[in-house]
Amino acid sequence: MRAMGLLSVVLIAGPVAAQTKEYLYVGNTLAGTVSVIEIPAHKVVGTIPATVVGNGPDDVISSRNGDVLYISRLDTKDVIAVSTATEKQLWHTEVGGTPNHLALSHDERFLYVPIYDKGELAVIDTKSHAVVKRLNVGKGAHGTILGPSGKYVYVGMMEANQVAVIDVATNSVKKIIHMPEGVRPFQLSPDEKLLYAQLSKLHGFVVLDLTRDSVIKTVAMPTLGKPEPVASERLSHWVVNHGIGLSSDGKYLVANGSLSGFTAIFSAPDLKLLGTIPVGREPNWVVFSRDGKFAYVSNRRDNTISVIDVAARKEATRITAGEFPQRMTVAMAHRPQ
Amino acid sequence: MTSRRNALLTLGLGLLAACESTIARLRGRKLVRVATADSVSVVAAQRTTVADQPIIVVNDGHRLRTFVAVCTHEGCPLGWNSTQRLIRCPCHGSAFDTSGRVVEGPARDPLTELETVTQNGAVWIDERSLTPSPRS
Repeated sequence: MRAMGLLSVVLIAGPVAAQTKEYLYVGNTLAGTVSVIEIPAHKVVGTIPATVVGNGPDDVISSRNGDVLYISRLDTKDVIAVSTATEKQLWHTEVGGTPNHLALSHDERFLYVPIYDKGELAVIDTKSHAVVKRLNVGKGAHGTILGPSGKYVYVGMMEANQVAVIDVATNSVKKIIHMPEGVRPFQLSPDEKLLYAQLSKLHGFVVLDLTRDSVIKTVAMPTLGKPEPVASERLSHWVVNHGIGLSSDGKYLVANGSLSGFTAIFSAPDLKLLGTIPVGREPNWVVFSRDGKFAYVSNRRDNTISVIDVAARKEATRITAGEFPQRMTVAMAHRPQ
Repeated sequence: MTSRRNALLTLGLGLLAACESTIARLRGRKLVRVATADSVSVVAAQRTTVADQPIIVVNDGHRLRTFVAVCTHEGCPLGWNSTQRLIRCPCHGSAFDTSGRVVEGPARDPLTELETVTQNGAVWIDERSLTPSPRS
């Protein structure tokens, strides 16, 4: 009788639900895979294979509750949605050009896809999986971020030296802000008044005041006693630095010195240099753990991820990922059992 | 029969001369083996690194060719998409065919081809024809 009672409890409860954990998902562009790294253990616990991803993943972002990864793919000029629970592809949408860094609307209805070679921002309806709008934003559409208010999407142009601000309510271009150079990775302050942007040819980053649409400060990156790194079109298409992250509380800004193999931690918003940390070769991207204790830097030329202990201002560990790791996202997710 | 034999002999001598000519050009240089000849399937490629320089050995269906596997747009190391049979850039999506020609931008310039010799079942290049990797 007692055994029956226990059996009933088990049957009613059903199978034990998979535990939600925090993971770092790393897109390995040359391998065509996504490495899955558990946080805070900082161990690779899985790889979403090339049979699912493949074709040059450029960016990887996640839905707010971590159930879906959205991945832009360079070779096939499309975006795929992948379930984190099954690590299988849910759907894909061709976007008609080379897709770069993605952003998702606050209600997750729209996925914003900059099309580098078309100068467009494609808007995908995540329900119908169709491109429902194309906006002309400027040549070399590259980085895309949803502002903290959820009202605007910001698109940085590598070739056109400008930022386009998109009104999410109408999915239309609200304004174009001219910049001194091609816009590389950027971040927005929590109050959405400041935009921190790495630019082509600049060993540093600029601060754009979004209330005045003007650059109010240029912050130089340290040279660490070496000659300042010089970019050229032929060798690096003017890249000096690539990868800038802001902790969710807005207190720490981490910026990569990509040609110099280090990352720098600044306080924000005063932008005082707190420290520099040697990382791997050609650091490319920065994301933070949800609690802000760790920053992750992808070192794309030596296939590793540097785990930066932000408070200690040092590299806590270095993890081997797949070939040519670039973009990353942190998500709370259930993984396949 | 005689003419067929003569034709084969001429062809053989021609190939030998071409091979000798390439070997003569490469004589005295520092040859580096980059692949075994049978490891690269028809219309396929194999990536490797020589002196920190990414190299891609391509079988274009007629011969084995070697290119510096660095994108002429931003200097990124290149990969091979076996489905598309194209050399692909992981940074901004440029694509090159098995002749090294640009088939999709943003790259505008073709890949740098290296003088390549296939001998004794291996593929060889002159290490000194390489320049240091721009992004290293």
